[in-house]
Amino acid sequence: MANIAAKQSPVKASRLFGDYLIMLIAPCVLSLWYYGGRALWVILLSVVSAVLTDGIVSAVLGKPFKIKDLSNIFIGAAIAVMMPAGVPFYVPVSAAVFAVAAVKVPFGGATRAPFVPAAAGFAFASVCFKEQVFDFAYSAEGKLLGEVSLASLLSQGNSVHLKTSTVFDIITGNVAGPMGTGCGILMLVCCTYLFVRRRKALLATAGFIGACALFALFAPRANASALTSLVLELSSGSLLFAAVFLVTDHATLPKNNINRVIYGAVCGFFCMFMRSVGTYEETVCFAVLLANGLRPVLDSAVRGFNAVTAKRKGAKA
Amino acid sequence: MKFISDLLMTALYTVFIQNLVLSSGLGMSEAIRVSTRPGTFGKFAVMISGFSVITSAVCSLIDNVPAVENATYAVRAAIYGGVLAAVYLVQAVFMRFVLKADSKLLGTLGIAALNTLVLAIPYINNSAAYSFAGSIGSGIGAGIAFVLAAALISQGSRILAENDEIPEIFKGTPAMFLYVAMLSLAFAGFTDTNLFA
Amino acid sequence: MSERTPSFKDVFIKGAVIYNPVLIQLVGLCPVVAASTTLKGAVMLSAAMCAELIVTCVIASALLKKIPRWIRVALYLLIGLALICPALWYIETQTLVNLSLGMKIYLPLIAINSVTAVHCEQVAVKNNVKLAFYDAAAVSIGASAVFILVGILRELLGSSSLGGIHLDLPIAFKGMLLPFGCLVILGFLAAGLKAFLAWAYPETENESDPVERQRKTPSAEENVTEVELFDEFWNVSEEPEEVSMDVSIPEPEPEKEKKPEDIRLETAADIDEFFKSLGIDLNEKGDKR
Repeated sequence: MANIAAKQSPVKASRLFGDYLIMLIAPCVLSLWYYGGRALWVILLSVVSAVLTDGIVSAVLGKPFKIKDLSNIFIGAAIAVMMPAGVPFYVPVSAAVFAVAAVKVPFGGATRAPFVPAAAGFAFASVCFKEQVFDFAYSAEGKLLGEVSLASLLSQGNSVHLKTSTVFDIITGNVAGPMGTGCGILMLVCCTYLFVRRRKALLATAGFIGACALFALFAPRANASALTSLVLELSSGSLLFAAVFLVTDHATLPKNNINRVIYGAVCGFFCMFMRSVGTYEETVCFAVLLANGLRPVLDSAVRGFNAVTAKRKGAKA
Repeated sequence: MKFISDLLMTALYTVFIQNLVLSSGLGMSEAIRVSTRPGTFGKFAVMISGFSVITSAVCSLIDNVPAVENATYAVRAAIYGGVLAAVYLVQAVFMRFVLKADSKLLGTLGIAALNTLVLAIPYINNSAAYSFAGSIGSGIGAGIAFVLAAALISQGSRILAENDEIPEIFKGTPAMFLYVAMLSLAFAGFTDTNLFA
Repeated sequence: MSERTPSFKDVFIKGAVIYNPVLIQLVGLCPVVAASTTLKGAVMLSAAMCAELIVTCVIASALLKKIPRWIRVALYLLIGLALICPALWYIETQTLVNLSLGMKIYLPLIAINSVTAVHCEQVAVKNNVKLAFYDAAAVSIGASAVFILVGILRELLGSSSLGGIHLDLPIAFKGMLLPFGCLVILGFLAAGLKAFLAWAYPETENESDPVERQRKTPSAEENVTEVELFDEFWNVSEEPEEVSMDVSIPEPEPEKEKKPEDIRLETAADIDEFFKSLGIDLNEKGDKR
């Protein structure tokens, strides 16, 4: 066991989270574009809460406080952009405090935590403040469906028919929803950056989106064509954001390529399954946590399979 | 056909949507303890499912007796507990004296039968008004839910053991509690209500 | 029997604090995780558990020593039901107390909780009645303290009330009423207890923690056979024996030399090690960034 731990290459957190923060500029700018100063306050308070919590907990535990690893800033900002702009301030603050105090620090930091802290923070906010986290009424005038988010539309199972103009609104994020995660085009740009920096991490993203797409095509929730269901499912909530920012988290990502695709696919399946049968309109963070929990089981299963295959090959030779 | 679909749907519900161990806390101590022995998971799955199915099937039949239908929960508790104890003892006597089972197997049998998860199944069937097929499905689901939880916790404890960055005061049971809490939070994505709420 | 029975203080410190059943030994989690969402509920569960544990342990110590273990464990359930069902029947039919559905179901489940089984088998059937009583009382207090503390915190944080009185706090964290909320609280309470033990009883640091002990001595654990492990779980041998008061789980045996046929491929690490010994490296290459 110890030799496995020793094999894990040391990761420079500042580089890892520096990349994520550069990518996060896009959703933050989108939030400011659509929601102005209110979005800025939500992001700032969330980030400050995460940093302060780490400082306080580190002081209590007698550990050095490393602000330079940038993980607290990422956790705070990622939680904030998944929230609606009109959310009461205590919601992102509580989520950021929980993510740092109950996940990041107790499990030994953001590069070792077995669960993605930002996903845990948002999931915590969802179960504690369901009404506030899924209330998209703030500044909803001029949005495609008014106060109704795409995820909410899908959960009602109505008939939906898309026009070209509405598709443009959807892919640019001009729909009620989380304040910084709705624009598919920006997520594609972030994906491109990640492709340059950590291309193998995108295998998990591919598995995730592939599984979500297949689920949307073959089990559409709305009374719509398969293609419409696909566009709506992928664009709703924080699905694409999670695919780029949470599923690719270094600490929880499997170490080999096949496992990464399987991990992403499992995560995508559970995300869509929870959307279909669960009580929340946005389930991607729960799915990420579940995939994080399943990851060591998957790793073990694949290793066992490889071991059996190697044994058979050895026997033949 | 309806029997099979009822059975499968209830089993699926019990494993994922209201995972009896991680979403409801039933049999959690046993799941954590058993998680240290991955080699015994299969045995536990079969035994827990077996006990749950037999107990819930018998209790489901008793529930339909007119005198029991409106019984108080105290009477119900006595019936369900008595049925479980009887099922366990019959099985244990059979294994001890007919199959000549050793103390190891009887110990496993005791843990698998006498826990809160198995005893809670008849209550779940009763409060959810499951059909006979549903009762059997929830029994099978209980065994699968237990093993799924034990497998997740088992692998979790392995990666926690490899993690040398965990602060000193969180090492051991605190980290284990928080790990199981995160698994429980993940399953909360399926439902936002407590069992028997 | 042991000549000298330890004082209640000694037993209390070990049973309730150093080896706290919930926070350290991880037993009795079902009632606290599933049902201790309010102070009132926690107090009721604690009272039921105290009565059931003390009576069962005393009966086990006085009468059940000669009965085989596999029969004893079923008798614990029946004794518990014999205590709890009449009390529940009285509350349901003879009083105006309005129990919630959850409480009507989780109270009888106390009869089958793992604290009773573990402590009856660990201590009661191996010792005299007085020591069995001391141990049951100490463990009951230790578990009840956790139940009530968790009940208070969950009601305050989750419902903004205490003892049913609404306190009008600005924020209510509804998630705290779910099992996950309880587990988070238990995690922090366990960390607090660990810090306290490190300060007050430094000699016992990590000794009582089953998870941490396993982490530090994996090789020794791997050599323990299944029989020994389940005996460790119930901590009994088939024949009752006379032992002095020791609620600790025995120290792991020193590592024996493994014979090839003893190697069991249970974990991924085992598989890796086994194949490495054959000169095959199964590990995939790391993350090439």
